[in-house]
Amino acid sequence: MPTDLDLLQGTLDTLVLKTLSWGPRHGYAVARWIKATSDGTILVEDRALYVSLHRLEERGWVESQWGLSENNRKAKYYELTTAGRRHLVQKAADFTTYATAVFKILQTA
Amino acid sequence: MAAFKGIRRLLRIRSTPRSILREVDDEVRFHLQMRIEDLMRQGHSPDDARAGATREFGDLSAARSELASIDRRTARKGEWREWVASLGQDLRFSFRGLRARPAFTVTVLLTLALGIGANAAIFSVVNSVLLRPLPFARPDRLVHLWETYESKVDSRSEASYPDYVDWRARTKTFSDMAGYQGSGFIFGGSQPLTVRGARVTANFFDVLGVRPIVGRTFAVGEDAPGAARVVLLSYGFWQRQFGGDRNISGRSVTLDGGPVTIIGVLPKDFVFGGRAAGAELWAPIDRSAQTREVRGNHWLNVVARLRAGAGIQAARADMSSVMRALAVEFPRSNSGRDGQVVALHDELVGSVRPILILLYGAVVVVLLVACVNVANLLLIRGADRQREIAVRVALGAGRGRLVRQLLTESLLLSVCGGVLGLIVAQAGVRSIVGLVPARQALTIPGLMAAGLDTTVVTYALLTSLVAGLGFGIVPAFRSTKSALHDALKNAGRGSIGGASRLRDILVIGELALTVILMSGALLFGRSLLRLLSINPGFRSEQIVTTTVVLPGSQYSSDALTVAFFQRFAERIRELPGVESVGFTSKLPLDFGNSMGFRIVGQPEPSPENTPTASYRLVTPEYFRTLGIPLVKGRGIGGGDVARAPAVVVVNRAFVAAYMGAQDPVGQLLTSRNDTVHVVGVVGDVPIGNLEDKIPPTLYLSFAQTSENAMAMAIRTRLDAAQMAPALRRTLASMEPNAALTPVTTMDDLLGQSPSVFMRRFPLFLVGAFAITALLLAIVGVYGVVSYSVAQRMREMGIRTALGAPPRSLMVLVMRHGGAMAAVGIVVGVTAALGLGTFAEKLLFGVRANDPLTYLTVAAVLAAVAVGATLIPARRATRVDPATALRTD
Repeated sequence: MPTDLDLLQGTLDTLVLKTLSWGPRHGYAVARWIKATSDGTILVEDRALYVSLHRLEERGWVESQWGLSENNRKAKYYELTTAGRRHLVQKAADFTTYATAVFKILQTA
Repeated sequence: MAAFKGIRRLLRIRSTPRSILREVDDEVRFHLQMRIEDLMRQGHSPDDARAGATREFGDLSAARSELASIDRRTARKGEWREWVASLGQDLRFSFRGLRARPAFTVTVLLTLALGIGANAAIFSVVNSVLLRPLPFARPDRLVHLWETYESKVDSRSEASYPDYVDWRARTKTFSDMAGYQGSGFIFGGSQPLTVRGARVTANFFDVLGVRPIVGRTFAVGEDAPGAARVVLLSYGFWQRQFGGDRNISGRSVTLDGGPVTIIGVLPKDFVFGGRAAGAELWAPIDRSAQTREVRGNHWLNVVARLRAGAGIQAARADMSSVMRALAVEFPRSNSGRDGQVVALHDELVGSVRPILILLYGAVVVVLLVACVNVANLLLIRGADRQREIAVRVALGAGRGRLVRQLLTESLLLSVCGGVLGLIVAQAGVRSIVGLVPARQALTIPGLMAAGLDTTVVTYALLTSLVAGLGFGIVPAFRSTKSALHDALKNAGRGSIGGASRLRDILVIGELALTVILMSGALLFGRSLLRLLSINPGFRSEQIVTTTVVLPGSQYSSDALTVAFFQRFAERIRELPGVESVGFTSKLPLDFGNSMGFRIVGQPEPSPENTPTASYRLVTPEYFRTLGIPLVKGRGIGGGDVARAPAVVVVNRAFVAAYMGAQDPVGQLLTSRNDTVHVVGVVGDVPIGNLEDKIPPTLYLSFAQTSENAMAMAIRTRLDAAQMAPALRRTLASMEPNAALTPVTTMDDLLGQSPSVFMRRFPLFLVGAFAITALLLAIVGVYGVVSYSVAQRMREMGIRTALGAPPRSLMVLVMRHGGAMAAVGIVVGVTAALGLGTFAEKLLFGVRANDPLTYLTVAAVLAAVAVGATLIPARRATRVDPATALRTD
């Protein structure tokens, strides 16, 4: 039974950046990867995902470029910029600290 | 990788709103198609797959517009970033280019620093004196009131106290009015100081709307006879004498030999100027009944605030109608008198306004000349850069991009020049203000406060930007235009025709502007010479002068005062180096009071035709000391004392005005209840301005009508500094409570008089500007002619090879300079004649269309312009034909 997680915008941004950290991908690949990796735990509307991608581009953390997909279709590829990579490292560290703290509190109860 | 991204950015096509929406649609469509295919692969029917994909996506149309609006923001940010990046690139490129040509860069920067600096310096004075409002509440509603009348001495006067009281009561267009009178005070007990100050009615500061920073201003009734004596301090005096002590209110100090209570301190920015120039102590008006009750005694300057809704025209009509009524009620004192209403700002700075506007005009001309010069240098440089520009065109740089690059360079130059100009301006303002004699400077409110503030700095930077665009735009378009035409095709030569004609026109403009400035300077110079060559009617050289002020509280009777000055004169005469010494109530060139009188035996004149004359008190040795010639009869003698019959000596102007063919000596004059005998006639001496018509003047015997403050004229071979200590010592030994004003010489007073200052000040500045412009014009002519010679090397070589004598080559080159000068002179003289009428009023003894002036200027300029071509002309004759033909 998948949990209905209300993802905060910042968290989604971080997940998207993480998805792009292994190389350029198009939006559909990002959606598929998040769905698969979280074993279906995290359910996001595709619309929110694209808003996240475009806003990351506006902030200069990712760059986009049109290219050909694996089945030879025109697709928009997103790629992390140097600033984006730096941001991801920072966010990931923050999130880990936060999650560890929350987990610790829940364990002691 | 970075290079790859750079190229990608370079090649990216500009985003339009339409293309953005299309890209969003493409992206979303790709996503849906992929999802549908995935779902169908998992066994869903096409319809189910489509429905599932759409549901998972969410609101499609909302997503579409949201994504598009994010992308539009992204595109805008990108464009801005690129613009800034390319600006940085342009700046770096310009900077490198300028550093590579230090001679060019330094010339341009110095030219601009001079032009902008001089401009900012004059502007700071204009701003401080003309533009900044007076330091009062709603200063635009304040006016100055005068009485006007017809006479041989003057045409306007201060108000009498009774008239002022009636104005206050009867006029309807003023919310209130107040009176003031400039005055000197003796401050302190032993070794007192003379301090400039003013006496005012109690409501003076209320009318101006000035609040004290410590204590209070005068209360109602504090100007009434018998009220306790109080005084207000200026900020500067408070700081200097009391170290800014905030508990100063209530302290008792000695003023004019008696105790007086300090009640407050005026704000730091408060200055009044005009008739209260440099006032540092403010006290209520004179309380003696005599000064207040006599309607014929005109001494009170009046300021007034217009009632809300009343204009200056209404105020004039109001004043006139009140004055007409007073003339009917008091015909003896008031017939023929009218009122005058002048905006206070005009009254205080009106006299220097034309000079400042003229100087501002002159300095704008200097800046124009500077800009023309820089534009010319840029044109020449642009011509030298044809090849570089052509290469950039070939590499795909658009014209707009090139123009922007060249303009960036101009603006970089002008802003750097402007910043250097601020240093020039800082020094300039100090020296401009320093040129104004202190006596004049204090009358002009705001002058001493002139300096570099934010307004002036903003002005200087804006001027730099405008100048940068101005001198940069034509060369930028011109250089890139020919570059496009001749890209890479013999780029060095192709453009000579048009660009060189433009350069010539710019130099002609520069020469014409220089002619205007030189003519102005010469006209002022000739005015000053004429003015200084006026025979003042006395010998001003070797005269040391100062004013002795006795404390009124101690010297309350004529007898005491007369006795003191007689003893003092004897002591001074015994000092080493002193030839003679005379006293007078007013020195020549000082404005003084005038009086009405009647000539016994002549028919009684109607009240408005009562004869008037300027008058001053003198001691017997005064005429001899100043070298004023006795024309007839005798001068004031040692026997003309209080007990003896009252006598008067008149000047020639008096005889001409009132005596007709009669012998003046022996005539009797009556004034109020006194009768005086005319015993002699002396030569005319200017009263007030040196160039004004000398009014009828009466010299009364000091021993018969004394005053507490007397100016002393000492004929001596010593100078003021050598004389001063002995004078101070002598005075202190006789009367420790008396004070001396600064010791100076008559020649200095003449040199600092307003008439001389009003010519010398613009002469110095316009002269300096004219010389600057002339130097710039020489550089301009030299630059253009030598460039054209360099361009025509081949032609010169051919001419030499064909046997042209060197002389003819020189003539050829010099004719170029001569032709530009000729056109420049014609244009400049025409413009100067047109502008001359504006300056006419500032001139003296020379007309604005004086032919000699313009001939001189034309001759000098022609000589200089042709002279500037000498070096390039010689160069032209030394061209070796073989070398000239070999260069590409």
